[in-house]
Amino acid sequence: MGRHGVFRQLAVLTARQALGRRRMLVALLAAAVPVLVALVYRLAGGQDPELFASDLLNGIVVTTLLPLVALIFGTSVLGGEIEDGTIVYLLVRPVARREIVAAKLLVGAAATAILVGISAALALLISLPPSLGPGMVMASSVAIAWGALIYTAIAVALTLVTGHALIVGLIYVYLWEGVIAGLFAGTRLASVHQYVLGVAAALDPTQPSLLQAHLSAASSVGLGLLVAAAATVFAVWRLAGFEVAERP
Amino acid sequence: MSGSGPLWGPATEGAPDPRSTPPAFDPAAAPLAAVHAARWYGNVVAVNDVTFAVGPGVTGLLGPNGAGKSTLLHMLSGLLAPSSGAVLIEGRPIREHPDVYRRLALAPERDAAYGFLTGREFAVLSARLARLPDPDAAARRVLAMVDMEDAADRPIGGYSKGMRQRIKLGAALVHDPRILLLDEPFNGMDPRQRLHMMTLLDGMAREGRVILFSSHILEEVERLAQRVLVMLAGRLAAAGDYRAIRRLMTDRPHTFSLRTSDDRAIAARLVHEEVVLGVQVGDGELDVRAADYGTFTRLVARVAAEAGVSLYELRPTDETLESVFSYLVNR
Repeated sequence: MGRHGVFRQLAVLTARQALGRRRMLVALLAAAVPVLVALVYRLAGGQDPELFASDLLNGIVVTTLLPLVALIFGTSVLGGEIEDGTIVYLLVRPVARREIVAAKLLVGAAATAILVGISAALALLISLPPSLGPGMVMASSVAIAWGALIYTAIAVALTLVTGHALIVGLIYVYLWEGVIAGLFAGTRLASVHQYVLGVAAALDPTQPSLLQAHLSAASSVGLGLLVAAAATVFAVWRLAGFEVAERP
Repeated sequence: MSGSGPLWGPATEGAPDPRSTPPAFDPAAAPLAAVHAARWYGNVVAVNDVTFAVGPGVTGLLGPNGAGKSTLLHMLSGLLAPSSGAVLIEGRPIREHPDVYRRLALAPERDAAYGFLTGREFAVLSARLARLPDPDAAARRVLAMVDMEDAADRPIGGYSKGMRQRIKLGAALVHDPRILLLDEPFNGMDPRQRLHMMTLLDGMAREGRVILFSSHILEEVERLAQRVLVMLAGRLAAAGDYRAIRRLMTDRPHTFSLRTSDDRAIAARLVHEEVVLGVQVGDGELDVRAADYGTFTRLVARVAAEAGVSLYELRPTDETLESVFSYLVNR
């Protein structure tokens, strides 16, 4: 049994454990919102579809849905094992801690990217004319996948710091990403929201993009990589020092 | 306790002092050892300066609930770092050498399980994580060992407590570990399963494996373990040959509470008996301290008959494990 067998086993286990949790329903319901908004817009015969699609993507998907779903999945993939106590069965095996974190991170990010990506794709295809739809779907999919990876890495790291990772994560997203990064231009360099928009705007078929990105594609990729890597290294380090007490 | 035996620790003859290190003690050579290991949570000391080594065979870790047994097993299995001192597996600190998990296994007490997995899936998962070449065969082997073949394809979420205990043990055994740490493994098992597990562990011990299991039930330890570590309030109260410790436990002074038709009459006779250390006549009850359990219980019936006193009730008052253990500590 090689290294990939263990990795695949961890990934399958994680998917079954995390996706079976009740809070997944919240993620599914949230993912329905952009689609419903796009349907209402389309049925009402809305004007200026490009502006609507940009607002939908920036205002609902990237600002709210993506971090919410990433936090739900990201805090479940490892947090579920910690809460249920099943983490013990992983820790007393000859499995590298970085392998555990990598499998958890990958499953959480992939689940987030797929759910949010499908939601955004449907909403964009409904609201945009066929000439723009597919191009915009491509841009949003790549940007969402990028954001899913960064947000999930942060969420996984949070589960190794606090037992209330979801709440702490939500406070971070809405306080830092939502309010502070919007108020002070300097903080945009440290805003995952901006990294996602930067990537999306660069791939946007309508140029100049209406997405109000403040960072270039290169900065968005470079800085995002830095944040994701830092969060992942931190998570591996925390897991290596992780302790399981039977009854403190 | 035999000094040449594979288990070292505070001597059971003479005053037990957990700090004492017998000359034969060599933690680096033992499969499992603790050297002045302590663990505290904030201000609460869970394990306090414990030193011992365990060799092949079955060793019982005996102590009342809350004595620190689980904390000690968690330290030995690398899930907790000692706050001070060291815990050594095959002479090395386990938290720095996760490779040791290829030869070590833990069946934790906590009833945590992947409820959505079937017993077989859990066993296969454990085999894969252990990086075994043929996980399915390994899973089949342990499912048969712990007598879980019939329920193997049902989700663990629907298992009884006894079944969960067995699948946990099976998963722990999947890589044929040399060192086995079991935290209260017989909890929730019915007598037949318990016997089956004991036979299984006994056989594994005969093959030269190192098995350390915790229990708060004297009888479990008595039936399975040749050697014991006795923990009380975070300290190692005694360590060594089971029979020697058992003798200390039964030979210690016992207190009894008696209800009779005439407390004063029987008390007057009992005080002259050699085995009786003290008598106290209380409110409708007679408390007696005796030097040894068997002699006194035989004696009291005879004395009552001679005195023409009816004996309504004879009750040992200090038979809890705590009192047995505190005797060992304070002796």
